[in-house]
Amino acid sequence: MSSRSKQKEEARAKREADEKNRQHSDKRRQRLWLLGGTALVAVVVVVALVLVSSGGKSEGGDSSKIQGATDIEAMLKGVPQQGQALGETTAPVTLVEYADLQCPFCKEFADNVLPHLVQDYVRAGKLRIILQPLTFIGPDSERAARMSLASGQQGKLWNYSELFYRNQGEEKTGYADDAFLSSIGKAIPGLDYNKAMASMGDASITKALAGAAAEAQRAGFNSTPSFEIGLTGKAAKPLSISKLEPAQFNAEIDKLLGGK
Amino acid sequence: MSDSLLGRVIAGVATLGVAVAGYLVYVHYAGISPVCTTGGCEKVQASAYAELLGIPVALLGLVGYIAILGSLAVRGETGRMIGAGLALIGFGFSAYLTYLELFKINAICQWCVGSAVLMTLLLILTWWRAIRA
Repeated sequence: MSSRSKQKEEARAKREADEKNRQHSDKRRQRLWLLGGTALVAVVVVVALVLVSSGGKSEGGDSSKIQGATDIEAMLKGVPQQGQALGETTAPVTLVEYADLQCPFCKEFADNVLPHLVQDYVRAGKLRIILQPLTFIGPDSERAARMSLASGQQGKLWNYSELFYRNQGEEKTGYADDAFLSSIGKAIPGLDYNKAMASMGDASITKALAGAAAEAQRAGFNSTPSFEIGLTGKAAKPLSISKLEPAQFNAEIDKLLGGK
Repeated sequence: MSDSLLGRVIAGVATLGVAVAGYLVYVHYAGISPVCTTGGCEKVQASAYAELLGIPVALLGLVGYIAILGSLAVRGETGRMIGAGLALIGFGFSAYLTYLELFKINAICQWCVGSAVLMTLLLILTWWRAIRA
């Protein structure tokens, strides 16, 4: 091969190599753009999912939108209350609920189980339920518990706690301020909420909270809601519940009623 | 690692994801408690964050894993990009759910953590596959 044709051959090979490199680099750039676009779309989707997920949880904890007052009033109307107890003093079975008003599971019990128990057993004079308010989640828990107990001085503890659950906000967000607590109180017929608010700091309420905490400790409870059940006036035993549904409570109550 | 071997590894991890998310979907609709050694599964499953617009997040996860598996059937760059995009969405949402478990719900669900780990693996594998192609 002559030197001239060799030079031509080399030049062509170089051109081909450059072309190949250019194509490779174009392809790489194109892929990086595609990946960037994919990442951008994915991030937008994630942000949208997060916004939808967190947006739906702003319900509750809003003092301007107290809901459920009529339902709670209807559920408890005519049922006797004495302090922390709901139901007739002569009811043969007593259920003790240890609850934190901020706790979502306690709300689940309040929404899904309590109305059935009231309808089927408390109204029939067979069951008495005692609320022992615990305050381990945070300051909102204590404020809510104090206001509930203060409402209990007027025979309205259960109206207050049930309406609180209906409007429960997100845990540890400080929603249970004076405005929220008094809005709940305002929505309860027959409750002097100003008087209740003024009584929140009473020594008797502090004593009741300490008593509830001590009882929970004695029973070895470290989560809410926890329950004890037994024949009224006799020692209660812890009630183990795997799911917050009426059937689990009914079974134990029926057993105790049957054994009488 | 060849592209086809990498694809098979991704398929294996996504299948594990289908099993985990499928179990949680089953538990959700059967109304039973998941087997749990961390003690917080039921609390997480019953929390207000367990559903998104009425759809269980476990079902969203199941759909995500199946979609990642499906992306492996799409040939070329398009399939790789779809897989990478889906894995990034899954990873991002899993990270958010893990944050909720730790700081909002205050309970840990082993199945959710397992799914988050699988999604993280899928993110690494699908992006590796997409970048090096």
